[in-house]
Amino acid sequence: MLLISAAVLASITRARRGRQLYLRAIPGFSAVDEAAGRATEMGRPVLFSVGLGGVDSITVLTGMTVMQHVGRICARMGARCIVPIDGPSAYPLAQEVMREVWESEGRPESFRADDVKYLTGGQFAWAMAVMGLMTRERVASAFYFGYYGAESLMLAETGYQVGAVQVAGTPDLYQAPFFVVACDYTVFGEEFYAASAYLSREPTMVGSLVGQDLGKMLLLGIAVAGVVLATLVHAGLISANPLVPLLSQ
Amino acid sequence: MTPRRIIATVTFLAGLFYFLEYMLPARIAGVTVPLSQWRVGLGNFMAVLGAFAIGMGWFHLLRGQWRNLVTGQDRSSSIGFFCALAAILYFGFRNELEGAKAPAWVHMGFDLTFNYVFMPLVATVFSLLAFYIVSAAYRAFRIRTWEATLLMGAAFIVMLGQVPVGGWLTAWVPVKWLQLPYLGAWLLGVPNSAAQRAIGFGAAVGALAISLRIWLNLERGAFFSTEGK
Repeated sequence: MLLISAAVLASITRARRGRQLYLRAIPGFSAVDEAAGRATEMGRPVLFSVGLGGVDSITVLTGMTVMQHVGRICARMGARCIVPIDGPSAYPLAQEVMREVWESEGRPESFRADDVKYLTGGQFAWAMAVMGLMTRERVASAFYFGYYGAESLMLAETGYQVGAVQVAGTPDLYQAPFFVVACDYTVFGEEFYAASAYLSREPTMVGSLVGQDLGKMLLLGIAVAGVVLATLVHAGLISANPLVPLLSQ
Repeated sequence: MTPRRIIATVTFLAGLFYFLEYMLPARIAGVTVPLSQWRVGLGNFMAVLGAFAIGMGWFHLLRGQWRNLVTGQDRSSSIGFFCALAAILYFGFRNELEGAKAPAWVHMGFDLTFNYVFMPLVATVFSLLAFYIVSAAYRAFRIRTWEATLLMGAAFIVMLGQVPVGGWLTAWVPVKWLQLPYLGAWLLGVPNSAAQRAIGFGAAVGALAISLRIWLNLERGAFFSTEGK
């Protein structure tokens, strides 16, 4: 863990010194602008959900980074952005972020504080409320960026039924397949955490992504070494657990 | 000191506390490290902060519903909201505080509102998932691309491998690992597990990197400053 952390920090330092780093295209993030713009053309609102959890959740904070980007496009184009919140602690933060976005775009009068809604902390009650919102408001685009449980498919299917363009992002392995099936674009696994780097393109963020890749290479090296050692043990070429006596001393 | 700088400082100190608490042993050179003793107190402090946040959420919810009630916009649902809130609060508090001493009608009211209305509603919503899965699976398994065909084939083998008829259908195949139950188990246990672990590794490294950035105030984006500010 310390090695990976060191690799991330070293890459950030290198990027801050002006080194140009390549960032591959992630279709899910590239589609964000297009989907948000569609709402303006249709005169219908955008729905952005940061999923379950409060401000103590990394996924909620990452989701808010994308929410800020989507909010900025909506503010610029004059579209509404509805943000249904599940975690009470995330509610004031989400409202503040959206207010700042509208103010920084020079349209504070268009900001509707009620569009950032705290619905309830109950998982399925929240899901039901969001589904109702999507159906009543006939949202043109729906974004789901955060942690979701069983409600992931309920939301995505409702979005499909109202004809919304849907972009989802989640680090959760079990919900990603549901989003892949029902949404137009899906960002999952490590791509989800690349949101701030991809959308801001700031050197610190891009450097951090390069550091992550180095960390993954390290893990891959450990996995390959493990496979080789296990094979050698299985073939009887080395004894099992040669490190055990050393570690037990 | 600007609010952002205060937040960054508090975040760093809190992160440092948990990092050191996890990394340092309970005693160093005969001296007790008190960090672990403070963990409970800090946890309680966080819980109190969280309670304030719940209060803010409540306030917003009540304000929104009250406005709907007054302005007449979606009034019936707001009336339902306030009635349900009052009933749940009344029966819930009395049931919890008085326990067995509470009158029978309080227990009945609690059962009616929570156990016989709220819980079945939650179960009903969860049950809807089955229908959504069918609808989504239909779209996922339409053979339109090479990937969809692969997905359909793999799903076919895994699903048939899980049920007795799969074994029965391929019992005649002389090579055992080509029989559907074995093939399905291999698909789940080898390529599927490998891919899931790879995605899991990537996500874990990503979470570590973003945690580091937040801890060291390097994160950019919502409520974080932009480069150079």
